[in-house]
Amino acid sequence: MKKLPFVKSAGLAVAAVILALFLLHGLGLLGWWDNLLARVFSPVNQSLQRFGTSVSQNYRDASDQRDAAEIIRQKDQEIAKLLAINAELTAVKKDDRVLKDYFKLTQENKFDYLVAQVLARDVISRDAVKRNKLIINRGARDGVKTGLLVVDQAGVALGKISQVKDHLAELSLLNSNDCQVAVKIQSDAQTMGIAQGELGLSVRLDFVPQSKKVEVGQLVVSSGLEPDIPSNVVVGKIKSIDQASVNSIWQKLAVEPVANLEDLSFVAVLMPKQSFSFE
Amino acid sequence: MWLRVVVISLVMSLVAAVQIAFLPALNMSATINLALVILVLSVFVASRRSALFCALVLGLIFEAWSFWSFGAMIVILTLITILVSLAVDNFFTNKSLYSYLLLIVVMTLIYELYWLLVASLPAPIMIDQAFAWLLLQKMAVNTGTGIVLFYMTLGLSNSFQSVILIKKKY
Repeated sequence: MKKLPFVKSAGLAVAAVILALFLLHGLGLLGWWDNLLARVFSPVNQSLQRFGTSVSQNYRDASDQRDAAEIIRQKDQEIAKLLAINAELTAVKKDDRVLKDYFKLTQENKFDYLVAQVLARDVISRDAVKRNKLIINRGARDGVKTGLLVVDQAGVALGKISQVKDHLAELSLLNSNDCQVAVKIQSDAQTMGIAQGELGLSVRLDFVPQSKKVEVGQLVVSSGLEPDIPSNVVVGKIKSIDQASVNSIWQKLAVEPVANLEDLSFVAVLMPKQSFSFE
Repeated sequence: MWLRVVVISLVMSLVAAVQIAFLPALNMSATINLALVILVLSVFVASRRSALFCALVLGLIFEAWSFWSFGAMIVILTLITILVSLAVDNFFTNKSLYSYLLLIVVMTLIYELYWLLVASLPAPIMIDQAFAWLLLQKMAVNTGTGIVLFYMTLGLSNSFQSVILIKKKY
């Protein structure tokens, strides 16, 4: 049988190197390497990520033009509906302003926005179907921790921080399997539920009792029941109600995220303000 | 020797940056695995030691950006390099486009199954239709990338050229 000199010489050396790396990592002696790479690669990755996103955006814009007529017709209908809603809201606005001032006192001072740049999509997708995790250039050293909500420039929810390193953090988008947000449906009943990503493609709303009346198009916002996540951050709109689940205890609702989860270059992490201490 | 180490490190850093930041941002349904293709190519055109060094450098850079358990990336990249080397030493010629492309396809399969296994641990792996379809797409885009890199290498280096059969009309 033919000898395998490659395995004998280099194979052992590689095994030794890998074992040494595991040992160094286990002892926490490779942290500097992660930090160094994060700092050195960040500018390059930011540029490459932005370039890739713009290429993808241009391609999508070009293909979208074919459907432009249909989109304009739909938008006209939406504008007509929004005008009607706007008329009602103007009346409510006066009262709301006074209430808002009170609300600001308690709510606004609790959270800060930490703007972060998207450096990459996850190197390997955990869902094996669609990449729905982003790596951002803020980490534990900036005060980012797991479970914090991330929003876009309009303040609409994009997802939650799922893992953190010193200078990097992983953002699980709303449609990611491991992203769960406690939400409520904006209606008179203020129905509570949990929004969870499904297969990296959509968001479903679980644990909504059958007794609660839900309509397609209603707004889904964060409930504020989770620590470090404020209430009333827009998550999405009810897209459809699963008729097959009528006989079960809970309703199954499909939610359409309001934010564009595809072309993201910047995001903002909602940071809770440090509580006052005497130390 | 040190010059080679520096050059390989720089080239692999560039490959890693493109793989991490640029290719996923294109939002293709199946992202090109440039790192895997480059590793297979490196076994064909460079020495085994250089190919292994490429795998280690790529693995170490990916580890810094990956949120998976430490070592998951280094292990699969070195494993792929070793498997390709063994295949080339024992079963294939290293001077053929077809063996090179076949190895890209096989290594894509191994790579994706490995990550499916790692992702689903401790549960057993479930191969569904969506995964199978994505795997086929990845095999196709990696093979396409492999062909492009093969002809680029052909123009830049003579590693493949010595036995490329060119039909001449006499």
